[in-house]
Parts: sequence; C-alpha cells; structure tokens
Amino acid sequence: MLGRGRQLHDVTDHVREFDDFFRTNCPRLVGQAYVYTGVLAEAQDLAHESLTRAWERWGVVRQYDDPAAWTRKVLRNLATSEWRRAEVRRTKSRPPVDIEGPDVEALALAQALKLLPTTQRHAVVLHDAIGIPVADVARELDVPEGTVRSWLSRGRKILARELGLDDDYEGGAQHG
Amino acid sequence: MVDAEEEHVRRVMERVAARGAASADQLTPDTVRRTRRAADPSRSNTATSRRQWMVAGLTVAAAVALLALLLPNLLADNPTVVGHAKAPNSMKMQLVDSSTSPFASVGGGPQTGNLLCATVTVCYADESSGSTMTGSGIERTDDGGATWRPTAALPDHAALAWPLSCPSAEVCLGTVSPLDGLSDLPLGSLHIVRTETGGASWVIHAVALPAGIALPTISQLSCPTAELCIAQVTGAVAGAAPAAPGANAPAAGAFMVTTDGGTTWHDEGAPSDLASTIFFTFHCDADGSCIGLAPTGSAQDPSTETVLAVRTTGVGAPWTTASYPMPFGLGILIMACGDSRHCIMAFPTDNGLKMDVAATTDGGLHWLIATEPSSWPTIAISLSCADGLNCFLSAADSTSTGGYADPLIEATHDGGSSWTPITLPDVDGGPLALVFPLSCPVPAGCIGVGATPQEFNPPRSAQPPKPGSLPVNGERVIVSNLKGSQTDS
Repeated sequence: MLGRGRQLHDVTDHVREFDDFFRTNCPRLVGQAYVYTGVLAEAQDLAHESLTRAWERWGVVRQYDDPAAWTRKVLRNLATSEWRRAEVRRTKSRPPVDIEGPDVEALALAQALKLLPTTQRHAVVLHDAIGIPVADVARELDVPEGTVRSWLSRGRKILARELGLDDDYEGGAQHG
Repeated sequence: MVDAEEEHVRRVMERVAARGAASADQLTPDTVRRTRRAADPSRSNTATSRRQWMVAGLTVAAAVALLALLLPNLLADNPTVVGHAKAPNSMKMQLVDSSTSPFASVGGGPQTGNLLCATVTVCYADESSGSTMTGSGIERTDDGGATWRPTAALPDHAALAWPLSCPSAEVCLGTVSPLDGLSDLPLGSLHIVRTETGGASWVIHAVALPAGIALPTISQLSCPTAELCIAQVTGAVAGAAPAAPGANAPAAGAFMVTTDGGTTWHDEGAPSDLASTIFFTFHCDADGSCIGLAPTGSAQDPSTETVLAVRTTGVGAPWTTASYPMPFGLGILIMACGDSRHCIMAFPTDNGLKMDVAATTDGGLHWLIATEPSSWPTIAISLSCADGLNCFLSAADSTSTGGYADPLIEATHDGGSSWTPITLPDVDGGPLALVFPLSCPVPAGCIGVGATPQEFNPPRSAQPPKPGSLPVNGERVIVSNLKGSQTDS
C-alpha cells in the first residue's frame, strides 16, 4: 500500500521514543510555560507547540545530545515571541481550564518576570521554577556559571520587590 | 548565599510551576501527533486564548518593522521535472513555469493565526491587540491587507470566535464561545453572530441546542451562501461519565443547518459518532454538499492510519463516511478542500525529513499521492484552496532552534497534479521565516501573513518593557500576490 512499508519500522520506534520523551518532559514544560504566562491554557499551548516542534523534526531532534534542552529552548523562544498566538491548534477542544478564575499568584509572577532582561528571566525560570542545575542552565544559555548565579540573585531580588515578598511573607498559594 | 527574600521567590516559582505541571495530563502524545495547522481558516480556538489574556491583563508583543523589498526570484527560474510517479495510486508531480504573480509585501498586519479572505481586497483576521479589544475581536482589511481596522463590537459583551465563514465580502457568520465567562450570554448556550455590513454591525442568533450534547460548541462552520450554513456542534454526551478518572467524557456531535442566514437551525440527524469527528478541514458547497476530513488510526501502528471523509450530498441527505488507508508518518498533517469533492493534504514522510502531497477528486474515496520535489521544504505550514483546482501551499524548513526558514509558496491550478513556485519578498533585508496562515479567495492567488526569523529566535539583547508601559501591538508582514487584481469577487 503506497510503497511505505519500509518506513513503518522506523516510525513505530520513533513514536515509542517520542512517547517516552513526552511523558518525561511534558509536565516540566507546562510548568515552565505557566511561570512565563500565568495562564494555564496559554502554558499548555506553549508546551504543546514546543512538543509539536520536537515531533515535527523528531528524526533530527532525537539525535541531539539533550533533546529536552532543545525543547526547552523552543519553549523559551515561544514564550518571548509574539508568534505563539499564531501557532498550531490542538485537535481536541480545550477544556474550560480557567473557568474558576485567574491564578493571581501566577499572573503576578508572570508580570514581574517581564521586568527582567530576557536571558536573566530564562535563567531564573529554568533554575528556580523547574530545577535545572546551574551548570545546565549555563550551558543552555551559553554563558558562564558565574553569570547565571549573578542573574539568579539579581533576578530574585527584583522579583521579590515586585511581588512584595518581604520578611513577613508567609508563602502559600493565592489561587483564585 | 540565598537570603530569605530570595528563598520566598524560589518557593513562589516552584509552586506556580508545580500547578502548571499538574495540568500536563491534559496533553497527550497523541494530541501532539494529531496536531494540525490551521489548513484553512475554518476552525481554531484562538479567541479563547485571547480572552484569557484579556483577563490576565498580560501580553507579549513587539512591533515588526516593515520594509518590503521585492528581490529576484529565490526559486529556480527554469524549474525542472523532479517528481516521479508511484503506481498505481500516485500522480505525477512536476514543477512548471509560473503563470501566477509573485508575492509582495503590502504592509503590516494583525498578529493572527486566523485569516479569511472573502475577496481579493476584503479579509478578516484575529485582532492584534492582546490586552484590549476595541471591537468584536476581528479586524478587517478593505485594501488587500495594507490597512486593518477593528470590526464593531458585538452585543452582550460577546467576543467573536472562529470559525468564521464569509460567503461574501459583507456577509460573515461566526461563533461566540459558550465557555467565555465574560459575555452576557448564558454558559452552555450556543450562538452565532452575523454581519451583513462587513463588520459594521452584528446580530446574535441563538442556535438550537442539539439533544444529548453537554457543553456544546461550534467546531466547524461553513456558509457557502448568505442563507445556507452548516455547523458542526461538538461536546460531550450529556450525563455520561468518563470511562476512567481523568479521562474525557465520551464525545458527541451534531450537524446543524440553517437556510435562513442563521435565524433558525435544525439538526441534520447525523449519527453522533460521525458528527463528533475532529475535522482538520470542513467545506460545504452552495448545493448543500459537504465534506469533513480527519485522520484516524494510531501513529504507533501506521498500518491502521486512514483519512476519514464524512460527507453529505445535500441538505437533508444522509451523512456517510469514506475511509482511505494512508500512513501519515511523523510530523504535521494539513488538509484543505476547494469543494466537496476536491481536497488536498500535505504530510511528512521519511521520518519527517520530506513532505508528500495527496489529492482526491471524489470526496475522499480515493487519494493520489505524490512525492514532493527535493527542492521543497520539509514542513507543510498552511494550505488554502480557492476552488477544486486552484490551491496554494505554504511550506518551510525547521531550524535548529525550533524556528522556520526557507519558506516556499507553491501553487497548483490542476488539483494537485503540478505545482508552481511563487516568489516571496524579502523583508528588512532578509527572507521571511514562513507564511502562516494563507488565505486564497480566487484562483489567481492569496493573501498571507509572513513572519520574520526574529519571531522565532528573539535577540538576546531585547529589553524588557518599562514598568507601566502599554503593550505594543504585534505586527506581521502581510504578503499578497493579488495586488493589482482588478476583479473582486
């Protein structure tokens, strides 16, 4: 049928491989995107688009040293690009995720993050939000580790000021 | 040394990320594999996103400066025959000399994933602004994309949502999201909006709720005339519980028809499992014949993959299905129909490293598949058909950073048998990254939305906005090969 039998074995392997990659990385990508956007549906869209880009060229991406780092980079670019609104659509209807009201804490964080220079913002999100080690953050952003540590410290102080997190701050979710 | 203040920030970030990660189960590998680009502007959920951004009061936008320079043809001046036939169900593909005008930049335009050109001069698109909505949420151009203006606000604080269908320049019908909590319309209700004045005013009509469907939404809408519209309404089976915790409730759907421009609607009575299909494209002709296309099967077992066509020959006629075996391979599949019998789809092959095109002339009963010329990019981006014979495909290559490059527009004027490259302009001294979306109202060509490479790889030196500053509306490069067309349809 259509002379495509030779491709089926590779395709099946790649599908299985991508499934594993997806399961491992999707939650962290959505988490990363949620910090950037503060809007759950937007975060899901960004993660979805990033994973779609990976799938779109999985035959190449799978051979990279760190496909997850590549996908995170795509997500970072998407998060700082206006292009994200013009991207692919999910095939299933979006569930009414935000119908209970906005996540005030997430929105405030996303807003505050926009005050940081782009690379500093990415460093803070990669390390503090999704737990990428400093050395890996440095590699992903192509800067020395010392620079990352400096960005983290400066970025947190700016965020603390913008979020009003003083010494009396008790933490705790402010959802709803 | 991390002081307490910094630790508080870390805890906030961890909490927010964890809440986001907890929602990741709403995505699955299959939804990624079954992602489709908006092959034609018939369906999307962009409006929902926009409204959520309005609630959030957030936006990320940057102006894209526009300097259109039409450079010499980037593509081969003397294209050669590079396609090859695949017997028995294949078609011969060849590049031929172009008789279609090259694309040129016509101005800046909306930051949109949805574009619908009703004529060579009149198009509608999602509004650019992310934080404020000055009208219905849809912008309109009257000059082929050079300038855009908002259309009038809808009654009841409603926002216009795609799908949008415009049988003429002045008559358009669209939908209002039933899940949009900002409008005065009750949740769970179903409405369409209609303009007969090119968006200067809108009227909302209620759509009768199909029986047995909870949380109904209009997934597809096709209005071949000002009076006749066919809508696909999808939702969940009313009262049905998910098969397992965390699973979606069983899907249900119905085809609703109006023959009086949207005032009254009736259920076409199609089997719910047909009508709940997630179509990649949906098209109806003026005689009421319709076709919806969707891939089925599992990418994990490509031998199960088929392209499903759900069809009717007219209002009141039964809806039937045709299924054709077609392993789609890795990557993105896009589909578009020029009429209810002629459709084209583009899909990846060779593990996503190439692209194939297939065409049907009998409403999906049979498909002819062709291998793309080796000069083509690997990723199909957008596909739009003016009619059964004349279609345009936007494609591009993927870059190592997840962006796009080397865009290409190809035209067919014989239903997909032969393809002609059309020149794209450079912008800001360099080539575009891609054109998405593309909308082709006439056989002569299309209007599209181009993006620069910077869209996908923002400069590291980009400065953050100043506190309190207003977001800048995003802009795109509107490209068209219809400039100078004298005949508007």
